[in-house]
Amino acid sequence: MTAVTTQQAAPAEEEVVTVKVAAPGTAIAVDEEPEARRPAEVGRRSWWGAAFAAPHSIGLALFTVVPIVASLVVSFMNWPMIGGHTWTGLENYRRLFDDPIFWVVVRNTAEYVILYVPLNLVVSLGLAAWLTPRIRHRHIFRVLFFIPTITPLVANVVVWRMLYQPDGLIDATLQSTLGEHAPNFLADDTWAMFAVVAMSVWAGFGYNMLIFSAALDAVPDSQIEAAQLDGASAWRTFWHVKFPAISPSIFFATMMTLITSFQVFTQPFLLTKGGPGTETETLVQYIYNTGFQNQQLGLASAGAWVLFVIILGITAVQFLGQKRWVHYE
Amino acid sequence: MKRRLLVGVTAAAAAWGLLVGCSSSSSTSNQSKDKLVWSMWIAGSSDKAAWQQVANSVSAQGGPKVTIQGAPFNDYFTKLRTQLSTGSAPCVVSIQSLRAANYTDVLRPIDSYAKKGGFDLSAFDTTALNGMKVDGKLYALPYDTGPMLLFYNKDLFKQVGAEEPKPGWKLADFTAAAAKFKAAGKTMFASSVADMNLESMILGYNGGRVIKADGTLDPSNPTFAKGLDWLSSLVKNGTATQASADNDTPSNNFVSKKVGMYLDGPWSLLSQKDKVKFPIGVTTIPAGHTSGPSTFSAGSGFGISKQCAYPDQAFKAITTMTSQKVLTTLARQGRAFPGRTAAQQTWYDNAHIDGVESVLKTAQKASAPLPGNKQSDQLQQLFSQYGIQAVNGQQSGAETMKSIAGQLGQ
Repeated sequence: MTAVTTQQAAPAEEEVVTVKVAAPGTAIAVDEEPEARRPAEVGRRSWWGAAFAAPHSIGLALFTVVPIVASLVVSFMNWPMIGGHTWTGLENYRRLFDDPIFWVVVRNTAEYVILYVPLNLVVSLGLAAWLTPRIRHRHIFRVLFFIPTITPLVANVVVWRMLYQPDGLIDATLQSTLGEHAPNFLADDTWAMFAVVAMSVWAGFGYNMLIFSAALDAVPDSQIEAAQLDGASAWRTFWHVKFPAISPSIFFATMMTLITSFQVFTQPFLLTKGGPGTETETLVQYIYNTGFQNQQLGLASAGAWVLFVIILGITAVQFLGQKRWVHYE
Repeated sequence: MKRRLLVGVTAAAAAWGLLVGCSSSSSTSNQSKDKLVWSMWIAGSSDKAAWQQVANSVSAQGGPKVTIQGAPFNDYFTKLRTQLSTGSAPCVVSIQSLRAANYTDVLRPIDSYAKKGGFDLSAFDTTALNGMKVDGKLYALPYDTGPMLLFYNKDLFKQVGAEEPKPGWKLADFTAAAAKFKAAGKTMFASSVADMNLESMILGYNGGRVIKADGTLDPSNPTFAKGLDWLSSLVKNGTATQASADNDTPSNNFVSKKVGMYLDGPWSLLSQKDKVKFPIGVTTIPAGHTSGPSTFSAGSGFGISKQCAYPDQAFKAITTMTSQKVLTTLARQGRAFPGRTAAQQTWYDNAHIDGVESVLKTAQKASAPLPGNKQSDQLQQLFSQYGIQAVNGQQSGAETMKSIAGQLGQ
């Protein structure tokens, strides 16, 4: 009974451990505490818990919960950046769905996601699978592959622009070897989206690679050995032993990558400003332009909520589908 | 009990401190008669030092203490708009002439303050002062001004055997020089899709404008679309580079000697002169099929926000910040071309560039102020998205302007 009370008062696991490892006498002493003092003790402890959680809770409430609720309210209002606000109900959503550019940016965002997510997962999983403990200096490779992820995206973009632009590295190399000009990747409507995706994959695969690499290291050697003794090829061992074992990590990485790729903004905004035309303009840039260039905060908030619903729906589908392929031990 | 109270208060204070710490260091909420905040775009440490000197000059003249709240130029107007809409407006606001129309709802007209104090507005450059007026009301005192110009690499011109452009040169001279560059396997001109650059180049070519003199938008103007086609023909025949969405590319290509010439304003001339490793020349935009103005001029100045509770003190501050003394000091330091006529000679003397005075005077005479419009920020964004399609020849000028007009709701 006492043990249960203690756990309720302080949810931290350490408390349970203390009771377990404490000398028998101590445990008895706890048991023998007068019943009357316990509520006060519990109250003080939860007060402390609340005090420690307060900075985070206040921050969460002020900077996350309030803005989210506010943006939902704003999305039902005509809210120019400066001037009066009026309640317009679903008018912003109607305007949004009537705007042909909105559907163009939804299509662009979908194109980006469809290209980026599989490429990112294949590259990161491939490299993680390659970086087995048998590879010499694999820690150095891991660090090298992780560097693009921790470098500020703005700096990455500047470097990639130098590669892509006319007379840049790619163009100059092609000219000197084949005597042909490379396309103007960032200004050509056929190439611009591919250029943005390629840069994003380079900048983003490191994080997933690290997750997969750690998960692969955790696959028990005994299972792999058993498969090898049964005569399984390396390919079969990977697909039938390692892959199911790391499927929870793959599920997590897929979910996170999908969510962040729907929110893509920095790469296209800095590389192409959404151009040429609207070829690389994504949903978040559309929201940004609507809010900060056109100064229609209501319409921008409605756009943000549409994005939220899209992400929520796709995440829900993922969770439903995971039962078929994710194996939890 | 007391201890618990003490702990509680301390924790609350710490949490509050954390939250407050997240906000801007030079908060605008504690402005007073003696203490004003000035929002300004800042490009680096030397920029900051120069503007700090300007801020200090106000208190040195017995005015309020002015604290700078800086932001990089690319973020400045987004930040300003947000600040002005949330009620945390700085009293002194830096503004560009071409954006003044976009901010009349949040800026205070200052004519009455000038009249009240008998402040002499005639000492300012007329073009600069007119640029800060919207519907006849003055919204800022100009600190710099200038028409768009062409900066060129004197060495490259000599190397390809092209004649150095004289102020007031014509389209035929431009084409002749481009032919020399092409013969030598070089590119003469750096294409740009920045709004003011595109609009100035086309104004010089055929007088086409996307913003009429009265500030209304005219995106389907056929003459302007033809101007875009001309710029595209320059790319096609190798006179100009392909355009990029990055507005810094032309300047970078010029500094790295990839092109012989690019468009910029006098506000960049002296800093660019220090950056390049060749003698820099400057000339006017070539006039083509037009008898009217052949370049746009613009400038920046300091205004007062509508929400400012201390407009008299703010007006005193901006008069000091644009005084003869301050602008002459800035000119001596090699900064922007001053908005006061009497300070301009110091700038010419300090420039040490052959013929710069005659070029600027010719260009000023041939210039018209670029009017602003409430949608000019949006137009700028649309040019960087769609303009490259027109200039690089993927779409005709008319098709491009049709897309832009559609997005502007025209």
